[in-house]
Amino acid sequence: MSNVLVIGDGPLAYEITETSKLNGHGVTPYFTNERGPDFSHPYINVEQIVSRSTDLILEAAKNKINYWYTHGSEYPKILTDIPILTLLYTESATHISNWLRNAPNVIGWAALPPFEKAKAVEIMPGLQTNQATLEAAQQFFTSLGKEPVIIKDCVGGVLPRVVASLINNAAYALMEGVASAADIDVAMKLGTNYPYGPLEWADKIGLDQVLGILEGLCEAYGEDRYRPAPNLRQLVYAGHWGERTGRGFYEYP
Amino acid sequence: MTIEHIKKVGVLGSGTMGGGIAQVAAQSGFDVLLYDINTEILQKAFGKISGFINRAAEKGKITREEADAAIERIITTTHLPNMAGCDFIIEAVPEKLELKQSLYQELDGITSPHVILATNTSTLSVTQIASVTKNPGRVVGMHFFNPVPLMKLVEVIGGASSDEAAILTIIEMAKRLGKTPVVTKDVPGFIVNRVARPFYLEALRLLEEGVADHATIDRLIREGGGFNMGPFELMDLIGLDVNFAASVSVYEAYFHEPRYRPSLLQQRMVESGRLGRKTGRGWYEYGEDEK
Ligand SMILES: NC(=O)c1ccc[n+]([C@@H]2O[C@H](COP(=O)([O-])OP(=O)(O)OC[C@H]3O[C@@H](n4cnc5c(N)ncnc54)[C@H](O)[C@@H]3O)[C@@H](O)[C@H]2O)c1
Repeated sequence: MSNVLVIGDGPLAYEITETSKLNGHGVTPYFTNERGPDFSHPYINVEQIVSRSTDLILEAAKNKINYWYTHGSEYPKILTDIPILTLLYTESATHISNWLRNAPNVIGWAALPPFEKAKAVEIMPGLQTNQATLEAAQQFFTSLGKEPVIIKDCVGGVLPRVVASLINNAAYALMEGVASAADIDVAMKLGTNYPYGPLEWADKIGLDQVLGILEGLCEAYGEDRYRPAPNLRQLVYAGHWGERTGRGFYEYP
Repeated sequence: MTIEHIKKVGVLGSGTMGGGIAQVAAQSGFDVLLYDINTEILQKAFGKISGFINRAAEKGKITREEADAAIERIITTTHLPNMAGCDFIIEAVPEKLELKQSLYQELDGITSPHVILATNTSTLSVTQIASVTKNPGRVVGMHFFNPVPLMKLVEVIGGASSDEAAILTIIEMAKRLGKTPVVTKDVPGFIVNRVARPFYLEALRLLEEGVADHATIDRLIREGGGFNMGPFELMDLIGLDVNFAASVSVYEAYFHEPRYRPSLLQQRMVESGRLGRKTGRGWYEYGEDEK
């Protein structure tokens, strides 16, 4: 199979690493923020973590500018041929490609944890993306047993945008004291048949990631409808990012 | 009144919700007095309820004896003063504030002040309904979901004047009816109808933006996220008019909060008469047997 460099800072990155290994890929993980806020990596030079044998870069990170913004005037040579699959929680593929001097080997993707249960993955070619990169992305997700579905390039894709909006709305209800977190989740599961309550789902996705999606939508659309709930922001500041940090909307002793 | 004292439940309105509540109450061992405006409506409702209970017996979900006993526990009436004999009253009449308020005022003179009055309202303020009664403390929201016998959830809504004891009794009552109660404040849409709005509204937004067509959005929500139904399939099932009206009502009630802004595209669909399954066409087309 192929050699995949997985760059990421959340549950989706950790999970996709396991899935890639299970499906026979050679995986080099590059993770940050595994246990919460990590202040030691303000800027990551991807040129230095990618190797000559890397066939594909799968990125699932927020603060993407730290990874993909090209400071030099030249597009880093080593990155020109490798398909870069970037998770579109915070920017569009077109935007990220622009940071890389409008590189044609950048394409967006989107999914949500639990990735194990996902049967389909969203693929979003940017305006600069070439056919070879699109095919590489399709092949990669197919190799993981997921069906790639092509949609238009945008921040948040379909599923993350809808679910982040539900979570945000639930967070506002919680903040306003409408009901307890547990009652809000039970109500949504029993009243509307959702697979998870929005707040427990947020704890699985990572509150930092959810906030990233909402801030990305705010930035891209400039609309009040996406403004993040203040209590969500507070939890993120405090490092209560959900299951992986032992605390989010719920506690995980 | 505490739960041990409740033997006979009065149900006002024998429509979709009232009928379902009467059925569940009878099957949970309560005597039920079902009230509506005329006998034809009540006969129809009683026929439906006994039909559902008999079918449950035929399917072996309950015994014949249980079914017969449940059906026997239901009595109907068009005479509101008969509610004097009930220990607990659930109201499920049409969603009109004046109608509900005038019924509660009549009940002031009929029932003992200790009898709890539970309203099944979806969109009205429990506080406002209660405000016209002599004992607003006994008025609490008890929001069931359709179809009542299948849906486990009950939202228990404390209005600004609801007594703590009355709220606790409703919680116990919901459990006795085999339901899972959640407690919420008296805010528009309570929990479910409020928190669920973006499920439809963001999906509509994505469609308006041309990110994907409605079928692709549904598929990604189902297959990517593990939802049972996509937002467009669900709108077709609920009825686009009903779903649109719910969004408009929540949007207005929250003083035009941008998170709840309704969709123009959906409004056009409603205007065109494509209301979903019930009209044979909504976002999808349906054959005769699928309506
Ligand atoms: N249908 C739903 O999905 C749903 C879900 C939750 C809550 N609700 C709420 O439940 C209530 C009833 O809704 P529904 O869907 O059962 O309506 P419905 O139209 O099916 O039933 C209403 C019944 O009330 C009767 N009625 C009319 N005027 C009356 C009066 N003055 N006194 C007594 N009965 C009278 C009607 O004859 C009818 O049988 C509403 O407040 C509604 O918002 C509905």
